[in-house]
Amino acid sequence: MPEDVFVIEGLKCSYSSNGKQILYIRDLTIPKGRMTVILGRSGSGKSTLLEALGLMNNTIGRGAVNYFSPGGAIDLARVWKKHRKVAAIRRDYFSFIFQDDYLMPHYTCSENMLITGLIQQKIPAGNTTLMLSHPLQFLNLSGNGLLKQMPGQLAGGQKQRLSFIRAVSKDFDVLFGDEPTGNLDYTNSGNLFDFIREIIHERKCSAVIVSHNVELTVEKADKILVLTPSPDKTEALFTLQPDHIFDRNPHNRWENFNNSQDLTQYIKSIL
Amino acid sequence: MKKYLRFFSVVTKNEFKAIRGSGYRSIIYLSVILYLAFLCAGFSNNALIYQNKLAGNPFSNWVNIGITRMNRDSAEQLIQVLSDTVLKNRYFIKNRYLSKEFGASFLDREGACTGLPLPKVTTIDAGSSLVHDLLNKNNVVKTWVTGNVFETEPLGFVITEVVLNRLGFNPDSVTCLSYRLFGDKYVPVPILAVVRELPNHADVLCTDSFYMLQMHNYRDDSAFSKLFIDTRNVETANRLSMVIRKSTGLAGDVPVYDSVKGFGRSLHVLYFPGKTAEIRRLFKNKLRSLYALQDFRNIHFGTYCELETDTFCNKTENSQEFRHNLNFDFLAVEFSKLDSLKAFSSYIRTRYAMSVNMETVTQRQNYLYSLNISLGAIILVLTLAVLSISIFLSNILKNHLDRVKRNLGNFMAFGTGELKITGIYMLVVMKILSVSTILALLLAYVSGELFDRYLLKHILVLETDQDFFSLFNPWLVLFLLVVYAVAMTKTFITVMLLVRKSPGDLIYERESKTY
Repeated sequence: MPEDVFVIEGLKCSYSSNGKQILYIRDLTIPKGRMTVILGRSGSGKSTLLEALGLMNNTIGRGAVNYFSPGGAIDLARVWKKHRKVAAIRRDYFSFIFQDDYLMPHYTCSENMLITGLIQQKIPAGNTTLMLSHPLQFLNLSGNGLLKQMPGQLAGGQKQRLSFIRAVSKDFDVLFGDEPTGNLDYTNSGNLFDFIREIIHERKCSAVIVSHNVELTVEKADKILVLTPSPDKTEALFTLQPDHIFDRNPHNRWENFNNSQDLTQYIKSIL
Repeated sequence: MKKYLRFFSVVTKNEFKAIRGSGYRSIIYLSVILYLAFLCAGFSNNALIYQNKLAGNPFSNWVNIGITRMNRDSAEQLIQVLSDTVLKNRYFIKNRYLSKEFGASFLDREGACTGLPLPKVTTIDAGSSLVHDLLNKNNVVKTWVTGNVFETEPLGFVITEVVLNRLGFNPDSVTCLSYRLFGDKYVPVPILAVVRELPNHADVLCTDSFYMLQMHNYRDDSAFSKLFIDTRNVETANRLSMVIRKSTGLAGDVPVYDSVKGFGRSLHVLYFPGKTAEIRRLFKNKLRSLYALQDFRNIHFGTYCELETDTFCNKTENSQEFRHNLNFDFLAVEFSKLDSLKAFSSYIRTRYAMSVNMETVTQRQNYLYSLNISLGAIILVLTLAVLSISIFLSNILKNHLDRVKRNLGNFMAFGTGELKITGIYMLVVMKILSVSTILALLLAYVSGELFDRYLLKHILVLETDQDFFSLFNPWLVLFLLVVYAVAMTKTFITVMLLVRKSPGDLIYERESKTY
């Protein structure tokens, strides 16, 4: 049983619209059952990498990206040839949180939160309140008849948290987050990271998150990937250098660093 | 039973609500377009049927060639020539016959003689195919004879409903008319059929034989007063004769009824020698009102003659001589196709110095022209309606998809297939279209029928036997099929073009090729 959920070798990412090589990663593994956070400046290819791993876009130019799903290994570079399979992989194994909530404005909050679960399977109508009570409570959203309200009646932060509940209302193996804390204050961002950790622990799944918040990342992540400009620009504009991958050891400490502050300072210096 | 929430039903319900708009705006707009289109289809269909009826009038497929004293010899030559097969094929001539027109007088229901203008009687060849044509189901109101009416009964009339009504009779309650021979002498003539229209704007159609017979072949010296009862029932005639006997004090041994000779049906005539004055008085004062509501209600009193059919039959052995003496008014030429009509007209003008009366043909051509224009207009209107509906639906769908495309990208990221999303929107559009269709059909049915029954027939007083509106017709079916097919195809293409993009491109609103 492999310990990694993704294994990447010689990956080059680009968008089909302009064909520019944005990101090059020589070797990378994403560990199973842990929270991996990708850091980098704007345009460094964080979202590109996330889209490649989450089958959101066919950005894989060259290289191999293997996903070790509960059903077996899948070569993500080749799977794009079969549209139905791509949709099925996303439905069965992946879930997503985005910076914006993308809640359907004309659906009730309850329907918005349950929709991901409904994509996978039908849900008994009577169970919905019970299903949503725990995440709502955890993210301080319980009460006030929120389930029957429309998203337009909620504040931005509330909507963001709803979108997170929507992401975890389904069964998944990997949770992808593209700057999910972008619209949240520090406290709620911390709560969100805690909730992700709890979900990972409970469901034995993995998380790959893109973030700009270095302090919170260092505080909550298990593995940190920092994308930086490529020194020679020959392969791509940005790259992931081997010494920019940081792992938290079993003793809950960062390898090669005395404490979290040192790592935070170091990451900020290389960004 | 346990109730489940399903992705398809939840999304379809919400998307339907969003696309139909607040206050069912989209459905109302769509219903209005469909309503107007349905009205157009409903009225147009019947207008086309009506025009088609006019254009397809079997009596308008011929021309009349007037015969005068000047061209009588040419006409006789032409009649001979028109039996030539080559000529008939060249000009698509189907049939030809000579015809006579004359004015006729009848006794009306009140026993009075018809005044001016006299009903116009046209003669026809008893074997003409036109006789069969004019008894088609669209033209005939009532007929008592099957097959070729004039071959069954050559001495009868085919009469228009208008003239019969003018005489005060109902087509259901009259089987013969008192035709005036001369002065106050009448002869009962059976009605073979009542029709809506006759050729040449005639009111009555009879055979050449009848025309010839009524000219001179009647027993003038034996004319006597008769009470003519329009009934086929001998018992009725007997019953009436008993009443009259009693009222007038007629001796029991005086015969009072007889059957009219020469007619193929029982037309009972009560005749009263020597009691004319009493009978006339009785008829005027009591009889008509007394029996007005009974089955022998058409009782005419007059001085009747008998047609000399026996003498006539002997004379018709030399019928050519008879026909020659008739001085026919025109030669009617029937065509199977009107394509060579102009050539035919030119032919007889140059060869026989005779001119063709093109009135009926021109009328037919006008109807055909009008029919084609109407048909074009209907197709145009319905096409515009299809386009309007298609553009309207496409716009509301595109606007909606533009608003929710990032959310749809999100659905796709969570694993919804592109065909599922397309199917949902096709179902939503189908639902919107169906609701609008039902609403528009109801409105169109009610308003169309009201418009037809009250405005057109009662206020504008158009033809009351003609329906001007019928909603459920082939145009409606065709229109709906096209609308639904176009709407579904357009929805499929519009949604597919969107969802063929990758979820990433949709969520981050990147312009990219479909993956």
